[in-house]
Amino acid sequence: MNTTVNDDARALAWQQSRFAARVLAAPLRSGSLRYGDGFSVYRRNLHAVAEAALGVTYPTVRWMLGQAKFRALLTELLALYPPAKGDWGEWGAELPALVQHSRVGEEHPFVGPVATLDWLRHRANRAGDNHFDARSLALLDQHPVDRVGIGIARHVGLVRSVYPLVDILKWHADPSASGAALHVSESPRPVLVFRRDFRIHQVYISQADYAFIQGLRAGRSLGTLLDTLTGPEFDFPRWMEQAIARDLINHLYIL
Amino acid sequence: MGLRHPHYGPALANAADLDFVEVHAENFFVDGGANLAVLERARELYDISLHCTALGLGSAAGVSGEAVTKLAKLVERVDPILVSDHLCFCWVDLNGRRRHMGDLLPVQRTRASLAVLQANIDRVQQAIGRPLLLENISTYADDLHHELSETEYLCHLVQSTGCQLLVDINNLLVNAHNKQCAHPYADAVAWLDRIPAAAVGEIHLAGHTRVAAGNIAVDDHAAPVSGTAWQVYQYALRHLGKVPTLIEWDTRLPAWPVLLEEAAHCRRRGNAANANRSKV
Repeated sequence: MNTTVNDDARALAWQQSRFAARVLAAPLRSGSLRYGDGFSVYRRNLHAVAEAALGVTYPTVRWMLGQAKFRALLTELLALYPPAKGDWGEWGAELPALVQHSRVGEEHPFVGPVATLDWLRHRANRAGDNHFDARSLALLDQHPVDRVGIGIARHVGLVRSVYPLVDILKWHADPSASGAALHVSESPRPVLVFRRDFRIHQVYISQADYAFIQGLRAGRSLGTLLDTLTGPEFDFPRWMEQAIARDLINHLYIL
Repeated sequence: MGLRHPHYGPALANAADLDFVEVHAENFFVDGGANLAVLERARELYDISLHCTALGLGSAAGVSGEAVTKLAKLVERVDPILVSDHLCFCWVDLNGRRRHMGDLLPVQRTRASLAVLQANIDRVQQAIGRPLLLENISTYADDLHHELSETEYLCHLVQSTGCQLLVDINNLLVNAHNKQCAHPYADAVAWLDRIPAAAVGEIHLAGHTRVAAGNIAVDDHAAPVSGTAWQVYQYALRHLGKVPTLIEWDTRLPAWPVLLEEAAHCRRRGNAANANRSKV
């Protein structure tokens, strides 16, 4: 009995896979479709849904590339990294890497880092709400800093690039503003992405702030990080005050 | 009324005269942020219907455990009046990789696929702790050699899983067009006659872009409800009684007041049909 049921299920799985393969092999046509072109309808629907989803996730990339190049990237992404979660909001994480190694990335090397920034903003928008446990600040008085760590909120993202990512985002928000002032840095400039009051922000931060947040994320102690970040560039009380104001941290903990 | 992103502003500023709004569940499969705040605001103003578009209940490859868990969490948060998805498959294993096909693909209606649907529907219903509504879909390529008619198949599923039905009238008319049916109205009402009235928990109304004969009609939710769809709806109300009804409009969206007028028109028709039933 079970064997029959399993055989039936396998046969159905095979039939559905074959149907799906016919969808993916169907010509991608625009305009009206004739009777008999039904598989093209499904393929077109798949691309339309994917394009809408990817446009929400990567609005700046879409704006920079224009529809034709964005669609070409989308087609490549769908083929290499098909949706595997049933939630289009989680699809497309591989786009920044794909761009870096694509012709688009060669022609427009700033698009890869911009894609990373778009992805971090998208992820920040979907992350769980953060609630800072202010009581955990008492750990700083109770334990040596070598034993204290700080948890970074899930919405926080970091990216570094020689391209002026924050300015490009501003330019996207207001295309009438001149892009002439955009210039490439000599060394990668860190950008912090975070969510505050349901709005996503991106700001340039210092190399020291970047290293500090990366270190906290890696589970390193406050004491260890403060030892490596001595000097005028890093001011821990100022950082802490700003981190709380920006909702960047969720709690202090004992390592 | 379907609540879509461009209408969040006017729809959530004040409660409109609507019995409920429908949202696409997958749009709220997030852990936090503005989307959930929007949903909570909508919940303050309206009853919510959660409509899923991606579970793929007819998938022999199985439904996604992650999606089911997220849906259950959302149901717990929103306490919707209705939860629905489609009679379709979305998940396949292709070239050794599991993938989602991004559309509502038709299930071959056989005894074997009934078992798959029963197992998947049961899994979802167990997770959400309430019955699902199963919607009939539009079909564009159907050479699947079915053993059962769509209505027979749906009746089996209602009986075996305790699910209910979401009747999409536009999908009936799209299918009638694509089958080159000479009398779409007659085809649609004959379909309704074969459905157990007590199992119908919701009706969807929508419009689609008109196409010339010989071209495939696509369920694009891009137009007002057609005259024929209203006629079928009128028949459905007589046959099924008063059923929660939703108007879907997803592309080329008009302004919010236009949708509200469409909803008011729908309610007037529903009330009139109900009054006529009472007189009989």
